[in-house]
Amino acid sequence: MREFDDLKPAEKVDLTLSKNIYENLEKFEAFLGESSDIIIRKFKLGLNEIPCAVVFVDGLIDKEIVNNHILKSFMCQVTILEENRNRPIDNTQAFEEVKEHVISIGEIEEVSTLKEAMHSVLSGDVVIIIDGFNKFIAVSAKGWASRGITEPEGEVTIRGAREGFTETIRFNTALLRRRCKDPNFVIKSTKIGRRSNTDISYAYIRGVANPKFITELERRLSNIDIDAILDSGQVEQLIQDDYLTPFPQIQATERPDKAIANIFEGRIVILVDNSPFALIVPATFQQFFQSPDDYSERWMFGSIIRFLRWMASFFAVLTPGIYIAIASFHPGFIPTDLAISVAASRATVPFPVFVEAILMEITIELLRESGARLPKPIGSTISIVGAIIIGDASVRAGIASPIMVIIVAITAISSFIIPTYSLSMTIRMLRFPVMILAAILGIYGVILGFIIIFSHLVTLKSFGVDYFIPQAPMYLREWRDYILRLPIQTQKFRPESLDPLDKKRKKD
Amino acid sequence: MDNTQDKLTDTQIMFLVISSIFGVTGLLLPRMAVEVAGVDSIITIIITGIISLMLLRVMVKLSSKYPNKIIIEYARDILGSSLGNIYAFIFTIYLLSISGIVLRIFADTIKGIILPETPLEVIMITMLFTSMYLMLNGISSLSKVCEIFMPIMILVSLILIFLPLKKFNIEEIYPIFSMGIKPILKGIPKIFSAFIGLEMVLFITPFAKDANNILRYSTVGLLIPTCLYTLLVSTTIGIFGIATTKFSLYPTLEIARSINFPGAFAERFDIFFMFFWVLASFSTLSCYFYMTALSVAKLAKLNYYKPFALIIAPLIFLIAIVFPNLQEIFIYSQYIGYLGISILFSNVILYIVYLMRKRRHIQ
Repeated sequence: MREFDDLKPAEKVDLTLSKNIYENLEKFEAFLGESSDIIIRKFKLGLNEIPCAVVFVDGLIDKEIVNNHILKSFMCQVTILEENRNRPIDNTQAFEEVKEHVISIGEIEEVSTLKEAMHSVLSGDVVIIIDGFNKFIAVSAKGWASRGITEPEGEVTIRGAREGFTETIRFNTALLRRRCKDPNFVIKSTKIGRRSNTDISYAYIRGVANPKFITELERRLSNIDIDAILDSGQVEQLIQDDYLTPFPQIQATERPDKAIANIFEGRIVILVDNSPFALIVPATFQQFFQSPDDYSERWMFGSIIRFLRWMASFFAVLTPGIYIAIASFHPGFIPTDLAISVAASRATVPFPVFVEAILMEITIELLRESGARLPKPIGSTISIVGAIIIGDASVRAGIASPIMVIIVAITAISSFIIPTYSLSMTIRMLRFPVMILAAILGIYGVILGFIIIFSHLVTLKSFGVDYFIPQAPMYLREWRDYILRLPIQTQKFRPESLDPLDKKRKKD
Repeated sequence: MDNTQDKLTDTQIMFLVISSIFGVTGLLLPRMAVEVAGVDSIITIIITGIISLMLLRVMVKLSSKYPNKIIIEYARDILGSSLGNIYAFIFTIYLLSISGIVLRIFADTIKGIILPETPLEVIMITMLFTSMYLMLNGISSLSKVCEIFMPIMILVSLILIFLPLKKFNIEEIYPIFSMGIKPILKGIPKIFSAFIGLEMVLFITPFAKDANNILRYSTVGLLIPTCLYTLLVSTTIGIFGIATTKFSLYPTLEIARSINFPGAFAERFDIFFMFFWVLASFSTLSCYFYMTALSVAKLAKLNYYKPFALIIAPLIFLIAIVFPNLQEIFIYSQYIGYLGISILFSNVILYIVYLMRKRRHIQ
């Protein structure tokens, strides 16, 4: 845990709790007093008029709960209780009595240090201070404005749940828990960030996920030293195996169904507060080509589409390179008619093929990026303007050949087909080095690029699991869910490469 | 050994053996075979395959006696320090030369078919660097790349063999045994150079996950190239006849060129084939590069081979560049081929010496 002292180094405050309520409140005020959203409400308890106070942050608590279940019980119902029992609450017994008879809220906790108390207040608990005790009661009454559960926009499926993760971690864990009623389904929590104290939960099924991944994840999480975690993307970058590679080694998803499916396979899902993206570890390359749709539709279509995605990823990386190679080095490789029409269409273009290709590819990247940042209605307009007007106009103006426009369009569409944004970005970027190699060494350069990409891919690991599984090393059993998605009836085993404790999905 | 590396799985061993055997020679083999024994070369290949199978058994048996050592180390144990060192040295030189020859044939083919105007040196250096990047990551990465590339290569080779079958003329393959048994046997040493690469099994024992399975999987790894070779040569002869095959430089590519799919751009299937052939040759080259670097390291009694790769790379380049033309390489590679055969057979002698020593030890 962080050192409490660096919260407010200027003030010298005695951090031990005293039995006197006023001294304790002074300590709270020393830290939180300047902030306008901190509310400290003092009142008297029962017939003996024991001084009490509640401390909470306005906006993080549910006012209904605080008023009805805390303040009302403390001020009115206690006296009714005392009259019925015919004896007032004793000063020495007040703490236990309050816990047992007054607070009508499920989740309460005793806190005995100022640090814990401060933490509870700041994460949305109500801290109750009673005179004569050097411990507090923290009552959970969290309730803040949050975005509801909406459809995940980054990962759309045709057939599949419409729920997506949201920013509040508690909703997200509930989304997972609802999908797995196994008592062995564990959701553990920790806090990261010296100042932000962001909640991080990781979920797995005990007895399925291999403990070596869990201990490794815990080790990596505890090694994180950073002041603030704002998004799960930061966590991803801090715990991944290799940061000198363009390939994502951890999968991020907005979809609870995808996350829970991976948990059932023996992986671990990490949830970060304030981020609608869950992280899945360990991740392998083939996972980035999967979409929940593959499983909910019949296996033949799932297989065909899966295969199409693999093809598309190769197209997206290699097509511009191959075009450059053929057009500028070896026109003899394509049928003569086609070669002639390529040459004819390029006749008016003043640039070499490479320059033309780079220009067009950069243009499409520009369009894509600007379309993504704009509000939706304008974004679609931009892409239409880009696709039709710029494409057409540049051909008419003689800057690009029509075939180049086709190539660029095919590449762009192919990179869109990959269901994971992080990998589709990698693939978009990889085509530029391949284009450069093609411009220097022709088709041989493209092959070299291909070789280098694969030589690099096989060196990668995600939490110690080989990245290019199940192809290298070969796990033939896992090929049932690799380039093809074979019928669910045949998917009897969890991925062997993840070394799950429970290997079979079925009983037999 | 490098403990951070993963151990090799059974399939990885298989693909390592396949890719160190089946690589550059795939393009040249039909011509080599036909030059040697005409139609009967099909039988020569089968016989050579069987002989290499037996050799493989001996080699795996021998290396399994020294589960933590590669040939360079245990040759010393068997032959004694000085003789063993000489043997290891010759072995290393041989590996180095093979790497050079593979690189040169590869670069020449690329230059001849894809990049006529690019200097040979550029092709060689780029290939060598790519290969070095891979082999510096260790044998585990090497085997994984083989695992990715070789299945595709085998598939494409099968397509290449079976697609033009309708042009296949069975009469070209007759008459078998027309010249008697003699040319068949005479051709064996030459054909054997296509099976060089087998020595890979001498290097993988320390890295294998399950050393007991090496024999089984490397046998499969040898059978696959043998079958491919046999099919490839018979298809070539069946389609072109002996005379044409003898005079074409890359007969395998000629077959590829003769394939035309109905429709589309596959007018040049040979380019498509070349793409995958480059992948296969790349893995062959990387295998040899790795073996050479490891041998040199072991020769210097060190476990760490990576720094040696930087010294060996220029040497391989020098060997590759020293030949004036392809013809010279073919002549030289024949001698190296003979050296390779004697090295492969020397394992039998090593094994016998080992057994004798052991018996004496027991007595």
